[in-house]
Amino acid sequence: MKRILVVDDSPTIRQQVSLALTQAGFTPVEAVDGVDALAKIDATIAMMVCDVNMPRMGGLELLERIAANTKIAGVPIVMLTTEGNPAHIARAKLNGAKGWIIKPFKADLLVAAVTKLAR
Amino acid sequence: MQRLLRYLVLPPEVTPFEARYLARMNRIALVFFWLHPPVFALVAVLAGTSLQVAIGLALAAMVGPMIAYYGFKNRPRVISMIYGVTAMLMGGALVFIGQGPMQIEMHFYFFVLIALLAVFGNPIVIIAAAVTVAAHHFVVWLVLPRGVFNYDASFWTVAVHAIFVVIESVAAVFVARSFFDNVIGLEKIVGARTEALDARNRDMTRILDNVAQGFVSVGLDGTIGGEWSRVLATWFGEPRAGTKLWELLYPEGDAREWMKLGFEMVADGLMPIEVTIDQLPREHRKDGRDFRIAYQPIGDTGLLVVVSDVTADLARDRAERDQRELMVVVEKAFRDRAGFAAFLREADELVASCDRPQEPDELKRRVHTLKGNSAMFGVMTVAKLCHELETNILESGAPQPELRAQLVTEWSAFHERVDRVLGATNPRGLVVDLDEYEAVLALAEHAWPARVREWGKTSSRPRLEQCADYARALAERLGKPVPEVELLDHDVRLPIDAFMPVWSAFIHAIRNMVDHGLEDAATRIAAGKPERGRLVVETTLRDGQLHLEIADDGPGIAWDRIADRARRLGLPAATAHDLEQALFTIGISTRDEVSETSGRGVGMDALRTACTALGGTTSVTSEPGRGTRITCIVPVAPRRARRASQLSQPLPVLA
Repeated sequence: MKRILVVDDSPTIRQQVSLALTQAGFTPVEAVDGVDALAKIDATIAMMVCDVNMPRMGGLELLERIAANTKIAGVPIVMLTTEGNPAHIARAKLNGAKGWIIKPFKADLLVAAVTKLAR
Repeated sequence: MQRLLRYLVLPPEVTPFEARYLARMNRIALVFFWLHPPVFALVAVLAGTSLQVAIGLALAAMVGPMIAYYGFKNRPRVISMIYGVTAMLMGGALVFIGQGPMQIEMHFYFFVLIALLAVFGNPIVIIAAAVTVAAHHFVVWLVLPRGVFNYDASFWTVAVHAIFVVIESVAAVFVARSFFDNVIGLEKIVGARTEALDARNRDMTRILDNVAQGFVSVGLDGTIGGEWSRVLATWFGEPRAGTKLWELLYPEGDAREWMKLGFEMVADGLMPIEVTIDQLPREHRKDGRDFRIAYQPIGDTGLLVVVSDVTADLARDRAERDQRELMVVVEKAFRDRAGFAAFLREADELVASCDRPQEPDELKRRVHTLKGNSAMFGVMTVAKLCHELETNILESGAPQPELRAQLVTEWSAFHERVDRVLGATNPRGLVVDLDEYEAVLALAEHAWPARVREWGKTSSRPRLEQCADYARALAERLGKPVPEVELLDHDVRLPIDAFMPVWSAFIHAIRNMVDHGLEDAATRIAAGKPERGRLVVETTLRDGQLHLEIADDGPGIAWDRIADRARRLGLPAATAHDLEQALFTIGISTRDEVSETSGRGVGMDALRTACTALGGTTSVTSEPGRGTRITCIVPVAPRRARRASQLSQPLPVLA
């Protein structure tokens, strides 16, 4: 069972993502923001699904931290975002995000993306 | 059988190439036939047969081709077919003339000729020859056997000759037909295919020029291909092959960036293509028209983009939605005319002030109040827009100017719609000059003080009913069991315009109750409560003060969580009073997320501010497992003071 790190400050979104992933046979690991995610990420994480705007540490800073850490860099990342600021997406891509999923997301498409990208 | 026939008989059209080729072959063959009389004469001499018969037979055989050649100039295939017969007649003549020891060898000539006939590329020529030689042999063998054989040949000998002819003819037919198909007819085949393609292309162009939808094919990276429907050019200007789709659709702005990023993600191919295509922009607005964009993958290399003008559809949807909303609003307005008039006035001011430059916090508070008020009176379009604006302020710090402008537009449009309806349905409404009204009121108050005091007042019940409506509608929208709502007005009558800010802010209390105060059915049953939650909304007059209260029978407030958050924000959290204050303070919310309905912590503070502004207080009592009660206590202002404050506002037009 692949472990997928789900990072979002909204419990509703976390729950929706986790539910979709569990039903598709993945094991979700939830984190409430960037700081929490950094504490939970390790080599057993097959992929990360990550919000952009979060308290304490947002998604963009989190990506930069991950990219700078050779031990965890390279984990496939998909951003979860509202259709808002294109500059955020461009920055996320620069820091290794493979793509993004627009909220509110469709569960089947999220699962398709995770299935393809999880290592 | 039909296929065989189609194989043997050539298609009727004769291309210029075939005509030229057959004319040349027919001319050469005629010269070739004319070589026969002298050669036959020579053979007759060598074989010792009659010279006259030889020349006579050869010349007789020449009649057919001469007539054909000069008579059917325009039908080269007919000439060739007659040549097929002629060739066999020449063969027959040679066998006849060549009687003697070499007669059997003369038969070779038939086979040479049949092979030669393949140059005409026409199976019928071969068939004509084969039939002729068969008829010739059989007849001559019957009536004049020495004309074909130099010995006493049996029927079976003739049959053996026939079999050889058939075998060669079959091969010759194949050669001729294949020669026709692949050499002579090639031009025609290519021509026909080109014509068919041209016709299809013309059809496609005609379709593309006349459909109401904009079609364009693009590569996975958004590069525009060579074909598009004309209407696209009228909407967005002429597309240019090789440019990008976003350059065509969006002259500038975030939408353009967004589509560019979307196509980058499609072209990257890292994410599944169904995901990336699904996230390409689907809506577009230009020059007052609304467009919907759909994407259809074509193979693995590109997308078909379909752009539709949905302006009319959206306008119809909007009109329907506005109409429904208006019906709800009008019903509410009739139930509480004074309240509705006050709502319109307050909202007018709020909208106007939203459009002025100001601190984000201040704007957020105004938008939040407007959202609550609009929802209270069923103006969901405005409430929704306020929510968007609020989200926008929260996320970006400053609202998009377009959203603010849209709020002004939506609100004025709504106000106009309402005025049209309420103006028309209120023919008995009376507009009185405010000074005259005051004068009359003063006179009348002098005569019947008790009665006049009641004139300016109205029952609190319609307001309470509105609260109940709102609570039930909200519960339904949130998918919660719709609560029972009990209304206790205690015959309280209030000055028409008084306490408007409190009523406006009170909606936040209702919202909090419905959103947090009611457990789901299963939890309630487990706790031994009735399945449906219960709310009590109450007005009481006590010691010259209005008590406005709402109570639920829910789980009570989670004071420990309030304490947590208060401490995190550096607020005092030691006593119950501290916590109560914290609950009302901005930023304290009992949930982690923000929903459309509540959770931003603004509402409760707005309620406290509204009450304090009128010299009142707010309080919350809560019993774990039993429920929560929010109380607002506001002094009922002396009549004169209130009227003075009213003077600055226009009189309600509603009768």
